[in-house]
Amino acid sequence: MSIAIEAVEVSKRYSLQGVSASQGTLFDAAAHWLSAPARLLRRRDAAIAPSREPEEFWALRDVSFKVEHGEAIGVIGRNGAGKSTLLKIFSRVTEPTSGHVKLNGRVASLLEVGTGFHDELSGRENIFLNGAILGMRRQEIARRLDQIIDYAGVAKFLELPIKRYSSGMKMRLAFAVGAFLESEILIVDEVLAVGDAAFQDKCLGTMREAARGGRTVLFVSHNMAAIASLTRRCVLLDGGRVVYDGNTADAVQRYGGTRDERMWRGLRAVEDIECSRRWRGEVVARMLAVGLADDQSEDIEIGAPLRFQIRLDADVPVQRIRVGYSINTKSGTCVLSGLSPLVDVPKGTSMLQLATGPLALQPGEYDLSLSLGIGDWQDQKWEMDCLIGFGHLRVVERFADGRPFGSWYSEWARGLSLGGSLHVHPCSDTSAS
Amino acid sequence: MIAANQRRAGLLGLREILQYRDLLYVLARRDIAVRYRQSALGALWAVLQPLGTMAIWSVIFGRVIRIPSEGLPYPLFAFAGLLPWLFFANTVTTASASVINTPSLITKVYFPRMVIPLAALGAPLLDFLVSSMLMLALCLWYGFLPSPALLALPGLMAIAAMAAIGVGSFFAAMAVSYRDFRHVLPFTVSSWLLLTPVIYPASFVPEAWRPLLYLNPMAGVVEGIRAAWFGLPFNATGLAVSTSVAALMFVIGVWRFRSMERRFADLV
Repeated sequence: MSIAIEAVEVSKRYSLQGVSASQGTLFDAAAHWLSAPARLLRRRDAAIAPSREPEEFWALRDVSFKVEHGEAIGVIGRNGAGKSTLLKIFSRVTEPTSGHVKLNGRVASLLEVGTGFHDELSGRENIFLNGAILGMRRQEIARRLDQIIDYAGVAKFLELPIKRYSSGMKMRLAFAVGAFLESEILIVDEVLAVGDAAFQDKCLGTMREAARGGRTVLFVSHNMAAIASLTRRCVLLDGGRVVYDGNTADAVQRYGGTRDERMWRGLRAVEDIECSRRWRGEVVARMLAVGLADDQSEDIEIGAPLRFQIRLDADVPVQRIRVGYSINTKSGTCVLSGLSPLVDVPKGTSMLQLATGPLALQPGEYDLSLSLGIGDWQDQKWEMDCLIGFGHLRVVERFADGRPFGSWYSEWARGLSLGGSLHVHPCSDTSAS
Repeated sequence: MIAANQRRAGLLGLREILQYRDLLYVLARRDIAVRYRQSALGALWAVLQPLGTMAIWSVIFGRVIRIPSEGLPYPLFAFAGLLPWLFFANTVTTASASVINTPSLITKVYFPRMVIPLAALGAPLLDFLVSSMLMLALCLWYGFLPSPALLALPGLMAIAAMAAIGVGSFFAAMAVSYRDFRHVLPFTVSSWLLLTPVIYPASFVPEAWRPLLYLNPMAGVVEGIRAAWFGLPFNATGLAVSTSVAALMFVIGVWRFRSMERRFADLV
């Protein structure tokens, strides 16, 4: 089979200064040019002075792999591993600093669903706009129009400006345009991160069909279940390098083993934490810094509690405040959440020490979220500060009492009765045995 | 076989733009379609704006200041010059902001980047065509029959388009790195108007300075278009100078844009 996608020693460097001196405002540039002689002199004087740290960052380092025609391949890796940069290079949005990629065939890339949608235009007009942006010819779109409308299920709203659409409708429409683009290579990034479950399944099905129909599919996702169901082969990126290239099951397992350093003992300022932060309603207190308790290990054993510390700032004395926590699997399923007892906090900064109950979790990797709020399930509750996915939790294969994992853990069954019944019938058909 | 980082051949990359001509068309159409959505008067605004400007100029420059107008009624004189000027000014303004206004496209999909400033030609061109119909009506109302020289109009507009794309794509590329250009632009356009014989005729400029006037490509275009409407003699030398400068602006602007476009996605 012939090669559809080939990356040859692709590297990409970004400047950490973001906009470097020669690219800021004109004034900066002028100042930079004008001060050049002075810098030259200084450099001569200070030839022995330690040189500054290079303020650059390699998003990709010598990435090489080949994808054959008709193959569906997954690209996985932690946040910041270089997946998005790689996809941008494949879809020719940006160019590698060194190395090159070869793409054999027409590429449709869905880096973000709905790119170029215009709110004032109708659904129909947006199909043509979006299609043209993705490189489709008019006749081609016209030929596929009914199929797209049908797939997205927006027939009734076709002449309505899409600013009146729900976000789900926009998503469906955009995915439909991308999916029906006649391309040999389909590059899909995390488009399944939003949307309802039924539609996500539909998208996955469409991509699977595309692969079966001979198109090459390159799929990036954090959703390991989706990756596993769509691809047989995966490239695992870590720190901008390919650390594994091979069968998906192995890649997913190794992915679990790549380092995730998003957990720490002691306090770290919330502004410095990479996570999504939300709030609702009236905010009278907020988290300033969070972290694990000083003596809490980053790896927890099955059935051990988890202890946090939180520094918070309250505008007024707040009564009956509490902390909520939730633990999600890496594929996003929430497996546990809880609320702390209620406490009163004074105005100004104060420290909270939180201990969860025993966490009877299966060994593995989890994401942690914390929230600060008022009320519980019975009351009306509102969260004034949520840090979603702020940290990472690893449950190791060892019980809190030191026993190794491998036998049934009684906590899992406590208080759980499945009900139903189980009967044994004698088997009369002897030919089966 | 496409090597993703191969250099695109040619100054403009015309072959690839032709492949994406539907995108060019759709983007231009989008600009036109979106502009008057949810406005009561709709496309009428395309005519009302130049008409209003012409009315005010006629009172101030025609009646109060009494600027000569080659023996023509001042409203007619002003309107003939105003139309190509608006085409030029609107194209430059839209094209200059085009790249920084579409970061979602630039960072998410590949297409020849020149399509973005080129699409800025669409709406002003349509405006020009529509208001030219009005110009025709105005001529007949004043009792002028347009001269056959009017056939030169497309050629003259092509010169204006060349200059506008040159300036517009230069600004568009520079604005990606230096947001200062956003503030430079309105000032540039309004000053440029004063340097162009739109409000006044070229003959108003002292003889000695006139060759300099035509270094402004829009001077040649505006004077040429007036000559075309009213059957006045063309200033061949002036037009030749203006055309050359327009071509030069086009080459420099497009070259600058093309040499910077590969970094747009990282900077925008």
